[in-house]
Amino acid sequence: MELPMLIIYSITHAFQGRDLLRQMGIRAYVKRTPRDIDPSGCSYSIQVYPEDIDRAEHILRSAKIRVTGRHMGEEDA
Amino acid sequence: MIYLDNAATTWPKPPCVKKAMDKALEEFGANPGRSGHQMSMDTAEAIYECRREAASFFDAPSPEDVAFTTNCTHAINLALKGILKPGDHVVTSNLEHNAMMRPLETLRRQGIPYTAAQVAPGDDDKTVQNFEDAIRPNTRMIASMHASNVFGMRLPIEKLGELAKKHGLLFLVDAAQTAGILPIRMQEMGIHFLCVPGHKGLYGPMGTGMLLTDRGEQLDTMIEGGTGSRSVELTQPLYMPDRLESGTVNTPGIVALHAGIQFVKEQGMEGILQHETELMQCFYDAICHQKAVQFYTPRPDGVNTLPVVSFNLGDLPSTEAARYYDEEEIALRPGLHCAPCAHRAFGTLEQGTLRLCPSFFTTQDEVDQAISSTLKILNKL
Repeated sequence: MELPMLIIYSITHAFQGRDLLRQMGIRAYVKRTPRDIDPSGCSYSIQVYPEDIDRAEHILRSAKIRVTGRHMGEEDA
Repeated sequence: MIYLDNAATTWPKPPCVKKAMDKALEEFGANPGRSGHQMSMDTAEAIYECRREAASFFDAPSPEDVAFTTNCTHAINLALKGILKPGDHVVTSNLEHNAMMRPLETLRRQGIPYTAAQVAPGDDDKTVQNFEDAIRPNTRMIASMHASNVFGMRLPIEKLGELAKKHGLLFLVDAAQTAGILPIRMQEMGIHFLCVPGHKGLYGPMGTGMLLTDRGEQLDTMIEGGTGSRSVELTQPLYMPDRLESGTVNTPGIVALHAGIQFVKEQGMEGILQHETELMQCFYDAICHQKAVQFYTPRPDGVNTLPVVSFNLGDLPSTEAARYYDEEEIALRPGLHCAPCAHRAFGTLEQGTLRLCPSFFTTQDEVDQAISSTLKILNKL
């Protein structure tokens, strides 16, 4: 199953964002962004469930964690 | 061997630190933040956990404000050389370690002068006044140690932080001797740059340190390279901590440092300070009445002076005296302690001093042995 992911520019911010979302009751996981998705080269993404994506992005942006895009990625088994 | 050179590096390390380093070598062997495979992700998470712990421990605004360095000197250099520009002026103290003085001297030659304000022992208000008197219209920063690595004297960084705020200045603190010993609250104390060693009071391994700053994005970089982020771009990322962390980080050291910080939290800084202070008071009381012994600061009280004592035995050069201690299998530190300014201020530049500093692991028996050995050496003079 594919789930939405929010692209974050560095792994530190991705972990930080994940922790923040979990504190807010949102299931969130850090994954590496596929190269073909991210034109900047290397980045990480926070994967959430579809129903949480808009709220998650809002929370991250409010916390000044820069979100550079969205994409879909495979859910971890 | 009785190790009393803990102001340089604490030893031994707690078992949890050794275990953490071993675990890191076994389980976190991949480059953090570079790949997507599980070991890389686990390693990155272990690094992040230390970042988060350090930010919390020192009251930094966020984990991203923690950049890992090789030591405290590295952190001081990153901050001073990254933020200061020709035409700026810095106020520092007259007791600083060369970790501060050498970069400041390099910057002075590049058009960034500094003034060394005199520390008034036991008179914080006078010390702060001396700092304020040294401020010029172009002063950009107050850069001060938290405590003297030679004489243990504590500087009033809370008041210096207020002074920096009053004049709109940046505030850098060299916490080489105090991190893990005294509470340091960056935001409360108005500290913009906190420079910390991992291998002293935090009980981490050598080769670890941190620069904690919420101004990282304003720093010019000294080192650029791979960060595992925005790799298409040839310019260094602007954001922290990537801006200051190029190349593979010291994962075993950082994971072990995390264990060290947790150890300090579990033991409690107040208890550690009390234990070490009582040991140094015992040493001080036992030998201060000996005619040939000269101390340079009052009895350590853990408030104005940390449990670090500097002394001399008559006119004996400190390096020679240290050899006698070495024969007694007692490790302490003679000489100038990389702090010629402090020795100049106390009139010990020629002779140096013998410096003795305990750690959490130092026992009363060991201090008693150091006292006996001191009396034995004195009898030889």
